[in-house]
Amino acid sequence: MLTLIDGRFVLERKDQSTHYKIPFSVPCGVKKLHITVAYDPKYNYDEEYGLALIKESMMKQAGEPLMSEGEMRARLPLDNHLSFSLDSPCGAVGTAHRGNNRQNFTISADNADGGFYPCEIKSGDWTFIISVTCIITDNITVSLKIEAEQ
Amino acid sequence: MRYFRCELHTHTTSSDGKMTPEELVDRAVECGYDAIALTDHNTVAGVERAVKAGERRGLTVLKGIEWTTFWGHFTVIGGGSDVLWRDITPDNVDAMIARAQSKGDIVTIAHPRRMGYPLCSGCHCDYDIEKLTGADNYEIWSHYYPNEGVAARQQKEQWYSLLERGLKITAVYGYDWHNRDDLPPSYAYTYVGTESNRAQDIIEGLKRGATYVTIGVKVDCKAISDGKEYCIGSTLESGKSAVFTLRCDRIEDYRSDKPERLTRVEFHTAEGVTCLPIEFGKKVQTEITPAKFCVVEIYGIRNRQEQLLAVTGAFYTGGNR
Ligand SMILES: [Zn+2]
Ligand SMILES: [Zn+2]
Repeated sequence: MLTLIDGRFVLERKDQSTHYKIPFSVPCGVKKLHITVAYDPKYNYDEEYGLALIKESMMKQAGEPLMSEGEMRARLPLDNHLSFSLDSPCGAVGTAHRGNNRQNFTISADNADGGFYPCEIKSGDWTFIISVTCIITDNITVSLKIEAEQ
Repeated sequence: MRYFRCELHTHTTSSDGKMTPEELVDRAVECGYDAIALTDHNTVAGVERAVKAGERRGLTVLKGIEWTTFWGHFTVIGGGSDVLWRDITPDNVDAMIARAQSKGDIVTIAHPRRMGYPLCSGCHCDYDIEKLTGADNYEIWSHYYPNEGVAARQQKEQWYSLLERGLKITAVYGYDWHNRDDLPPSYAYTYVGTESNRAQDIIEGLKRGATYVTIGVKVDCKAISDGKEYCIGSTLESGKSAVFTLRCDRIEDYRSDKPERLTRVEFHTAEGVTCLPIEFGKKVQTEITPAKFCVVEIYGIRNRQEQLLAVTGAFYTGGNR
């Protein structure tokens, strides 16, 4: 197995609602890609901060209370949410939009999982994309490993 | 034409749903749907499996996706669109909607008034509504307890404000189905009026705007003007009166708390409301000259409270886009 990427990437609050792109290149003769991605922290356990952020956002969005204090508390702790996409030299290979902060994917011509499409692993320039759907901590550290099976 | 029970907003394990595409199809068959659309977040990875499972089980599965952008969500149904969700921005969203439509797809503004960041980023629609006026459908109701709360009220108000401006935009419900829901909380159905439950006919029915959303009430509503019959979504001649006929029956297999009885029906136009009493199984008739549009709201008693139980898509008058 050939390691194409093994790195850590730090996202900050200013990255909210942006796509963070990680380019990598795939050599000839690869049959499968294995992607292992994890991010931390998942939760922000500061309840007062969480409650204040919900209230402020709610008034900004709805202009009136959408839920009671009890309903807001039931939604704590707040969590970070990232989604992951992959682009091949031929175009988009899908997106994984799910809640877990530990995810693995395998992509080959016959099979793919987690929201990705089966796809021939062509040699050339690929991009792994982290979409910052929600960040409610000062930082998120993402560790990403992409391995090639020949 | 008849009305088919549809669910146009669903998810599977290809995104954050709990059911596989096959399990979703099995469940939809058990729940009596005539058609569903699979609209996973930003992926169509589950669509072929769902369509195949639907063919085996006799359920129409429409190909779809939910554009899950940072500033708002849209379900896009039909399978023709080549828009990549990451390319959609507040500046180009109108062009992206038009592009999907040019490939034959139907675009629905999803749960626009639901709470967004930090609970569900993008679930609240932050796009300028002026950029969204070309959308086909608007989810006036969404998810669980669809007829309750502030978001439902604001969605209905915003939809009416679009109709008042002379736009044609179709009312739908979105279950936003993620779980099996063996004991479902309050939810609704979208019924689509069309020739058959084949995928293309459901899409045609949606394009014509022949819909109603409902919690346990089967709706049969038409207008007759100058001897001609009009269904929901059609355009009546401007300034002419029409006789609206309505009959409501119980949906016996609605799986959550059922309505006990009906109380009243309201015919809403841009210039006012006509209110009449109504009962299950009895015809109501009234003559109205609709200003811009006519929407029918049906109220009844459920869980010992008077509630809005069904809303029809609009009948329009000439001049609407
Ligand atoms: Zn959504
Ligand atoms: Zn959804």
